[in-house]
Amino acid sequence: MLSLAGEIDLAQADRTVERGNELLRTAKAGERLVIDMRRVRFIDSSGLSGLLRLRRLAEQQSVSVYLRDVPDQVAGLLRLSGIDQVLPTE
Amino acid sequence: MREQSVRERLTNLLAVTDVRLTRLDVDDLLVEVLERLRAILDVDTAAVLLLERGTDDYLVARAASGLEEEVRQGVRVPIGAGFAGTIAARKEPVILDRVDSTTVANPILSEKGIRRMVGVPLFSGTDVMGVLHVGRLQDQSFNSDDVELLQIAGERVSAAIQTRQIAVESAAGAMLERELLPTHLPAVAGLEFAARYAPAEDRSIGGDWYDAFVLPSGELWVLIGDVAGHGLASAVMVSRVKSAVRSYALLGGDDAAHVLTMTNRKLLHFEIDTMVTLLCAVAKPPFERFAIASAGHPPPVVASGHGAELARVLPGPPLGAVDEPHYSTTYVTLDPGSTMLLYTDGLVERRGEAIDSGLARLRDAVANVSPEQMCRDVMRRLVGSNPTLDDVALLAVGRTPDPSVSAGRSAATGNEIELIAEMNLPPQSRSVAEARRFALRAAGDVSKRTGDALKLLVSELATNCVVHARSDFTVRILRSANQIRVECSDADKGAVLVQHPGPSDTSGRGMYFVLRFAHNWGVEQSDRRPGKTVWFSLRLESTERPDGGRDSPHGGELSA
Repeated sequence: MLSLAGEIDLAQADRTVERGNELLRTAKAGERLVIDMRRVRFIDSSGLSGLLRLRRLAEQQSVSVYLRDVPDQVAGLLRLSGIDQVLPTE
Repeated sequence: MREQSVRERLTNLLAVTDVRLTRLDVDDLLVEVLERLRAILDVDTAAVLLLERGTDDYLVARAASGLEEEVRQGVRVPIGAGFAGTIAARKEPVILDRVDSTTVANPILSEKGIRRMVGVPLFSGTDVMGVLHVGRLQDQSFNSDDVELLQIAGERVSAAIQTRQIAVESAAGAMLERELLPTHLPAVAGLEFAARYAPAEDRSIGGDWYDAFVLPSGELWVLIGDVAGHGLASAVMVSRVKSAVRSYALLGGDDAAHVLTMTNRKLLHFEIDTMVTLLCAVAKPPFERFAIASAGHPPPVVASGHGAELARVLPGPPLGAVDEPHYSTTYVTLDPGSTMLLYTDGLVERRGEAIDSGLARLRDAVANVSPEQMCRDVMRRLVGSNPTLDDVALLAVGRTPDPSVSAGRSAATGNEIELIAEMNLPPQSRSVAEARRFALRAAGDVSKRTGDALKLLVSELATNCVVHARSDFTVRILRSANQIRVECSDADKGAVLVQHPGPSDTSGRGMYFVLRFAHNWGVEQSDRRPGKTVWFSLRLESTERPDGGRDSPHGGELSA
């Protein structure tokens, strides 16, 4: 599980992808990567792009990505941009 | 019997020092004491060396009798080296029975033909402040009685030096205080000034100061600052910072945030371990709008016909704290008859209390009165007869009332949109978070919905500047009665792409959010600026407006 916190913007997006990629290294095909969003206070398009890049990397290893405990601000943006369809919440 | 008579004579000598101590000529006093000491102890030379602190600590010859060339040549002895250096390092008396280049660092001593020496450390508390030593040309050794007598004399010499240092510090402090706090504030048509300074309860010189000056362009600068610490060293630092700010203002002109950045650079390079809070407010005639920038300093209070408000200034880091900090500029309107009060934290800080309570107490104590009356009221209500732990400085600037204008117009009651704050930021990813924080502070009280949209869209615009323009960019916050407008200007002329990305596309979503959440948005290029300006506006909901407007809320829904 990947726990995110704080404000996920341009400054944090790359780091988020790197941390997720670390976890994917030991993941096996068919497993799940869960991203805990409970402590995320803010996300913007750069942060969302980071999540989608991570999803793409996971896809290549047949690992599926799920979000957990998504705060309101984030959930609103996920729905507005349709990302909730490709990054489902547990 | 010899010992007793020597002690008596020493007692007489010490009585002399007590009388002479009331005067400041400590150098003359030391010479006189050393001459008498020579006679009493039957020695040929006597000298006082004082510790001078620097990158390396040295003893420097300060007074001598029979050994005047030590002082004339400004002899310096490193701590730990030679005779005097060893006494200072060991913090104990040393008796020397052989004087040559192996036992003393200073060749004057052996050249003089001195055969025997004894020296004692001079103490300030438990710290060594110098060395007192005597020498004989004859080969007659010193004993423990001589050491004891020299120690008694040394104690008195230490006391004399310290008394003098305190007197010098307080005289210099009083002089600096007069120099640092101008009694004559500038005479500017249409403005009134008043100021106060109250030292801390222990009457030590503090690090608070204020300044007000007019540049050749007619631009007025008012400032208030606080150097961390107390005493003469802080007062000297105030003098340097004050002078630096004046220079940068004169040369750089009109941009308070830029002057703070330059002063910070100067402090970091030349004045290590100094922390300074400073607030600058700058205005051009007729002084209706002040551009304010703050380095860790509390915000001014503005009193007008609408009441008293704390200016919404987003303070950057104190000067001397971090490399290349970013300072924003907040614009504050000063209507005729209104007064702005600048102050230092000694006014609002109480031990064990949150700073917000102090700020609220200050706001409540300020009424829309003349600058002089405001200073009087604030000192009476907030300081009163309570002992203050810190010094307090106040500077009030008021616009003289204009009888032809019936009521003042505040920034947010007019229908026209007005610039309320701006900030320059470098093309770095951390600037995006700085831009969000700045915009939220400048916008003031808005609903959660407006605040969330503002935060997101500022983030998107700032990100575009950082990623695409790769140049410094400026974020401006404008506000009218019913909308907030944000502008981001960069040096890039490239087009702004609005895409409608699919759910799994990893880019192109930023401007899409602007399109969805903004009431209105656009891109402008102007001859005045090299690049482009992207802007958006958000409608304020009726509850957020001073006039209680009725337009229905607009824009996308952010919450789930």
